[in-house]
Amino acid sequence: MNAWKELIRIEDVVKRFGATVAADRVSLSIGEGEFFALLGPSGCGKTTLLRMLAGFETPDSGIILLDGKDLTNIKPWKRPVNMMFQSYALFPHMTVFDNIAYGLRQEGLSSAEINRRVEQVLELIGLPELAKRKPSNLSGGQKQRVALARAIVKRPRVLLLDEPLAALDRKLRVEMRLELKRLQNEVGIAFVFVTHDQEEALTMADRAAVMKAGKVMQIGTPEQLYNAPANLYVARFIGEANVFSGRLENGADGWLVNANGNSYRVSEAEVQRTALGRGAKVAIVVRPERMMIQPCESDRASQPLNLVYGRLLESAYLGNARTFIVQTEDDQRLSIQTPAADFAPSLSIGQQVCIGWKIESGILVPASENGDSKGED
Amino acid sequence: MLIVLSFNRSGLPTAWGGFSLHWYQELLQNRALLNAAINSLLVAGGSTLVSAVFGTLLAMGLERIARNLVLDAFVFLPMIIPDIVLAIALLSFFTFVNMPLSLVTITISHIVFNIAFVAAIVRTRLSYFDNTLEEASLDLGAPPVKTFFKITLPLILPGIVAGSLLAFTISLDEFVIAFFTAGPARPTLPILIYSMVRFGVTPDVNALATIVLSISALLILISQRLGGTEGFF
Repeated sequence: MNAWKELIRIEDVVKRFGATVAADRVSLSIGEGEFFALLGPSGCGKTTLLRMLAGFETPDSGIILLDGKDLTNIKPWKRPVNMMFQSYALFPHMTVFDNIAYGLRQEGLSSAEINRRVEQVLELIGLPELAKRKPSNLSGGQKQRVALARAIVKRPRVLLLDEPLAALDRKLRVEMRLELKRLQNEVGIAFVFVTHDQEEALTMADRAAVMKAGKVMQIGTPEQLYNAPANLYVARFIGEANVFSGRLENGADGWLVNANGNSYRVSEAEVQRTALGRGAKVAIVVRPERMMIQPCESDRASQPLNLVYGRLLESAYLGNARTFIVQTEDDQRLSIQTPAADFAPSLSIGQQVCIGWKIESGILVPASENGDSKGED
Repeated sequence: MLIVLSFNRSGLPTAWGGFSLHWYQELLQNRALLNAAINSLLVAGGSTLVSAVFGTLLAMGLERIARNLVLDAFVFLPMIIPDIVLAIALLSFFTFVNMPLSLVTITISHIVFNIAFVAAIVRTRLSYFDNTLEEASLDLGAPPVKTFFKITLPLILPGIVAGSLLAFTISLDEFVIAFFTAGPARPTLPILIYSMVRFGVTPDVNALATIVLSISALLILISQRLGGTEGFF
């Protein structure tokens, strides 16, 4: 992708359905040719946002711009935007060819041109031999491709995808992630897709917006969302998180977080990045793969590590890795992941263990700001 | 029994005189009967056509715009209330608005209940209809009216045809309401048969009844096949 150039701009959009707020002052920009994910649990308003882009819902307030032009009063059939529906919504009384040609026929193109473009897109999705089939004679994966072909054949400025992979079985889903990414690269259209699956969002999206109850909690690249979550909600939603909440203090040898009577050190860089100050309610988030685990015979606390002591509850072998669940002395459960080769046999269930993480592995997030005020589980 | 007798050469209900199409020939020469048959077809055809259009619109309105139990009950009332009550109500209505009784009044009366039948069947079809298909069509650039004719109509057409066939059959056989709202000059088939039967069952009536019975049975059979939810065409 070349230099980022704004294509869609959503500004302060609000949408209510009765008492529920589906979009609560949502503002975000999507770039040309970008693969953008709207990520969140069901009911967070991500689909509503997508439907507003398609024109099936109108915002109560706020504006949506495409190429700098206001889309608000443009009807769905006049927008240079196409959508791939979760149910695919293939027309059952038409063949694959007619389904794909449907949108082109609305543009009044010559039949030669329509033939050419349909054949081209069938080639692109790798199903040229299925043109004469009815949708009821297609497999799930084939339907998905045809639905995609039907939406991109019109060469929209933006393609909207509503849970594009949800209806496929797991193996196909993983394959289609890469396939979608390849297609998006080839056609160069901006893709905006809705998903509740964070793994899907991380693997496919250039950037993602994490949503909760109609609000955007954070927008960023997958790396930013994982390594620098803006708040606890994002930290917990993207990947697994071990959380230590407390107040930020400025100790003799650097910054500390006091949590449940224990002090954990946190790097200067993190404090600067988050611009949090003394006394702030914060949490340290440590990813499972950033934690180390070992039997607790060595001397306590000497390395530049934060240490926690606990009892090993579970251990699971995953082939490429091993996960451990540990109950700490202050009754918190931690999840630790190590490469499978390390320590494998030497730890047994019920054993006292020592868990540590490097100070710079701890991610600092505000504990209450922007949503997750419930704090600890 | 009736069907067998219609092929009886002897013309007597008590004695079998051998197989014959004689009474069907006789029937073709009976001008009064033929006229009545044409009247019936006109009434059934006209009321079905109107009911098909408005019944479909009604079904769409009920399914999409006003989901309301009271309204539902009201719309389907003509299917449930006894024919005689409907007949008297319609007769008083026509008298009230000073409309001379004729084929037109019968047709209007039949539309009243046929709409309900068409609407009921189309609605079942609509309840299986996936609304995202319409959204997909809008999204692909087809305005609402075009979407209706290209997507919605073809997909609910089997329901409309099924409902129409049912309506046609009911209208063809309907006696009570037609009897009350018919003018003196042009009776429909059931009315004429009724008046013929009062003077004894003649063999040509048997033949006629057999024809009507077969047509009705055929139409209902077709309508049931189309009304099913599986298989579009």
